[in-house]
This record gives sequence, structure tokens and C-alpha cells, in this order.
Amino acid sequence: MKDSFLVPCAGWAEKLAMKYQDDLPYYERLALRNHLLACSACAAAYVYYQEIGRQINSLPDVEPLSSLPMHLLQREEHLFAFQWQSELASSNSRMWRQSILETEPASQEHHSPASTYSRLQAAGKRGWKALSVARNILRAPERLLHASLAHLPLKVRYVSTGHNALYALQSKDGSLLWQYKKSTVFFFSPAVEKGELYLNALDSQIFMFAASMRLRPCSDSFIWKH
Amino acid sequence: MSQLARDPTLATLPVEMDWFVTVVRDAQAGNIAAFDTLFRLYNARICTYLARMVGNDEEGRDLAQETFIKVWRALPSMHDELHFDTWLFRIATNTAIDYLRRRKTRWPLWKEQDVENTPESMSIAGPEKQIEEAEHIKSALVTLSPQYRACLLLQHYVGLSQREIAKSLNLSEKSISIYVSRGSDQFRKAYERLAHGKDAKEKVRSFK
Repeated sequence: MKDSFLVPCAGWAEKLAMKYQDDLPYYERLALRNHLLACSACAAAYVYYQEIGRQINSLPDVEPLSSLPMHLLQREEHLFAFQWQSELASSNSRMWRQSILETEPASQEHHSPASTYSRLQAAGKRGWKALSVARNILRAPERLLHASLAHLPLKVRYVSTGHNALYALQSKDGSLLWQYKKSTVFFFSPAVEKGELYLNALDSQIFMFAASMRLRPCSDSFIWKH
Repeated sequence: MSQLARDPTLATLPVEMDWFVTVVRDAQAGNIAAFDTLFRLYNARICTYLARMVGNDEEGRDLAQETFIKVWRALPSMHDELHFDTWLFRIATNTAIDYLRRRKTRWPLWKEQDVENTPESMSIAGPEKQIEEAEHIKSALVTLSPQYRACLLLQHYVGLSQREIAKSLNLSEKSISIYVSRGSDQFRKAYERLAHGKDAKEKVRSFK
């Protein structure tokens, strides 16, 4: 069968299949946009590749599982307990276990191995809870910042600096709260191209969420300003 | 979630990051109710994703169950709560690829659906154009290699960026862009072959 599809330029083929613009740096996005205006084969391929997404999403969803397979998960519970035992054996946890055992009454030392095992299991769970609480406390300032930002009237400014596209989130008084580069969120918004965009509280919350999703892998491109 | 996060103007439901992180942490701590919440969030997407990966709805659901059990077992070793979805889809993808490999070993004569020689009796009859198109799309997906299929589905169905897919599949971004590009090309060819094949058959029938 004859292939009616025009072959896209070799150098651009991979970029055409990208769905989200933040997969490309800003200058490559611009170059791609210009190339699509000039090359009909690539423009046709680009449209078709985007169409594939529509086709895949047009498939009806499969009927999901009715509920969580509880009986299977409960069977896994004992494995979970063994994992805690191995956690306890690690150097960090050993000190903590020591402290737990020291606080136990001396009479309990004569308990059977089964009860020692269950005590260790319970102690392991308590230890994990304590670690979670400590971790929550350490992350409290970050969460507080998120919560406070969500209720501020926020303004997103689009700033282009050479090859980097930056989004800066400012409070009402103009102070810079944070900036983020390579985001597609508002790239095609006409308001952004003019230089700024106001967000309502809900949108800003989601924008913060989007930014936070990328906070760890792109720490060099995400700068927090307190 | 990723798609919502990408375009806040399309969002209709509030996304509470803190809430989500807390749920993941509770599930990590062994709280089954929290894990049930995560299950409800991802159940439909994982089932559909896996059904598309293996080309069969029932097998997809079975693999989804297996995936959630693996996730429950591995949760305590997960460190990045914010990227729970990337991690979850990594487990789902590996489960599907393992399953496809096993299926090939157990039934070496079992072949991915041959799109050119689909028997007449297997094709959907009737005027429902949409059903026919859906069948073509499913068949075209099945012809792709599991890696290409996973990349296309993660990008288009799940809504991950290529960077996230790279992280999820533990591959370089460059490889992902090649896989997506080649997968898209193969998908297009398979789909056109199916659609044109059908048209040709109809033409032959009308001549008779």
C-alpha cells in the first residue's frame, strides 16, 4: 500500500511527537513553531501525532475493579511486619529500639518468643509513626508556605530572559514569591504574552501543585523566594 | 492529575497537594483506608492503562489487581510522595511487560493480533463507525512493541510529560522521545493499514 503520509524532516521527527511543550526548552519551542510554519510535511506529521492522542483518549474506559482486594492485602500484612523487623535492624532504628526496650518493665523480659515478636512488631509500627510525625514537623514550614500562598491574590508574570522562559509568581505588593521556568501552563495564553496573568485562589493552588510536582527533579530551575 | 496540573484553567476540582501527600504517607505507614483512597484515585486509570497494554480488558483488570498488591508491598520503600503517580505507573508498566513476556514464553505460537489478516468474522459488523474505529485503534496499539506502547499510553492516556515517562521507565529522555516518535509512526501505519484494508474489502464486496 502506498504511504500517503509525507515524511517529516529527520531532525524534527522526535520533537513533533512531543505532546507537552515543557518537554522542549523555550528556544526549541520557538524554532519548532517557526519550522512548522515553513514545512508542510512536518506540519502534517505534527497534526497527525497530536491526533493520535485524541484517538487513544477516545477509547472507552475499561470497567475498573469493584474494590480493593482486601483478602490479598491482608495476606501481605505479615510481609509488612517482616519489613519492619528489617527496618529495626538498621543502624538508625537500633538506637530507637534500644530506648523502647529500656522503657519496658523488666518483668516482660520473660515473655515467650511469640509475644516478643508481637511486641517488636508493635514497636516497629510505633517507631514508623514517630518517624512520620517527625518528618511532618520538618516539612511544616513548606506546607505553611503553600497554604498561605493559596489564599493570596496572586499574579503570574511571564518573563523571557534570552533562552529561558520564566514564570514568576508575585504577591499583590509586587514581591517575588517564586519563579519557575519551562512551564506550559500559560504559554499559549494571550494574557501571558502581554506579560502577566492573574489567578484566582483555586487556579493558583493548582499551579503551585504543578510547580511542586517538578520541585525535586528540577531543583536548579525552581527557585523559592521567601 | 498531571493533566489537571498542566492546565489550571481546565481544572474543576481542587487539588490539595498536602492532602495527597498525607494520604500517601498514611498508606506508607500501613493505613489500609488511606491506601483505599489511593486505589479509588487510580483504579480506573490503571485498569484502562493495563488493558490497553495487554490488549485485553479482563487481563488488564487482573494485572491492575496484581499492581495494587505490589504497590502496597513496596510502599514503605517509596521516598518521593509527590511523584507517587510516576512510581505507580512504573510498577504497572513493569507488571504488564513481565506479563507479556510470560505470555510469549508460555504460548510461543501466540501472536500479537495480525492487523492485516484479521478474519472477517472477528471484525465488528454494523453501522457503528465509532466502535469500528475503537477496534482499529486497539488493534493498532497491539501491533506496537510493549516499550513503544507504554510510552504512547503514558504520554497520551496518562498525561505524563516525556521527562516524567523517562523517570517512570528509568530510561533517558532522549530514548523516550525516540520511542514516542517511532511508536507514533508505527501506530499511524498500522491504523492506516487497518482503515484502508477495511475500505478495500468494502469496495471489493460492493463490486461483487
